[in-house]
Amino acid sequence: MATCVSPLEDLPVGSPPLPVADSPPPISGQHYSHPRNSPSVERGGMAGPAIDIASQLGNFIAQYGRVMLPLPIQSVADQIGSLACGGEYETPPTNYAQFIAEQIILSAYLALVPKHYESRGSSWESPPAPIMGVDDNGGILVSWTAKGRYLAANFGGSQALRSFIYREEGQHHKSFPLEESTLREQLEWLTQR
Amino acid sequence: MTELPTPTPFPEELVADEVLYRAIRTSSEFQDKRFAFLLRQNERDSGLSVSFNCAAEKCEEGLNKSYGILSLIAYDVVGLDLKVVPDEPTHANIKGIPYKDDDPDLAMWFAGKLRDLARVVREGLKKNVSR
Repeated sequence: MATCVSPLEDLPVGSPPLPVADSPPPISGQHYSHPRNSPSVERGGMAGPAIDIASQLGNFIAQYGRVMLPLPIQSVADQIGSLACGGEYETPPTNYAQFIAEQIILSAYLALVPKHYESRGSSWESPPAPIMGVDDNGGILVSWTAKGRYLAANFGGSQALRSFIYREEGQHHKSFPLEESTLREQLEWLTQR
Repeated sequence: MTELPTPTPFPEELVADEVLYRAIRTSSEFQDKRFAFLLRQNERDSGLSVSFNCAAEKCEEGLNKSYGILSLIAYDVVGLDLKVVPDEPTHANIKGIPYKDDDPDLAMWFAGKLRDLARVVREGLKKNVSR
């Protein structure tokens, strides 16, 4: 069973930049063990490269200084962490699903953040608040809706179960293999004018 | 004398104005009702479970909790090229929807179409729904 921990719980918001070199980031808890040491990633369960969220976050803070983490990222991280809490679901999310959901969603959001700061005052907007649920295999299903567009990401409960991205606008619909870069592109699609 | 087969107390398929009920089992299904129309693992072979020919609340029986009830009309469901096949006098399965692992695109699309057709019969959390 996944532990009831928010992925960014231990992160010192607004603190000096985290180390971004090869040394592991000073973040505790099993959720943020370094991905290179993670069996989930090494098994190659997901398509695409494993993203080191902590490093990205460190890069972000190093680049933009002592800023508050963008609220959408904190709130999404909290949402993922809370899926295992409170006994809401008969089958709680698996560690595998929670790990890849954190990795991919937070990485995709983080990749969008610089764009936000580059275009501050112009038309860029953050993704809408997602809806998250857990399926009966412990997989995590996330959806976003904006401007008549619908986007969903399914994180399978295990490596053997399917993970995918789905998008729909009017009569057009399509699914994609789940990768961080694809999710980022689709989040951009969701919010573009 | 040849004995005639006993007729089943329900039709082979529902194709008319029969009302079908589906319980909303989680808060996320309540927030994104498309989730409520995705097949669960135990529905993979049988189809999407619905109640009919009964009070709406019957579809919640036996659940630990329910966030509400959605209804569909059989005729509308058949219009999506799906079949509504009863297996009990008050229970049927909607057949033709793929499981999300087997065909994510079609599973999500059908779930969206069924959500569009659905009406909310009851909203609100009910715990320990009687058996």
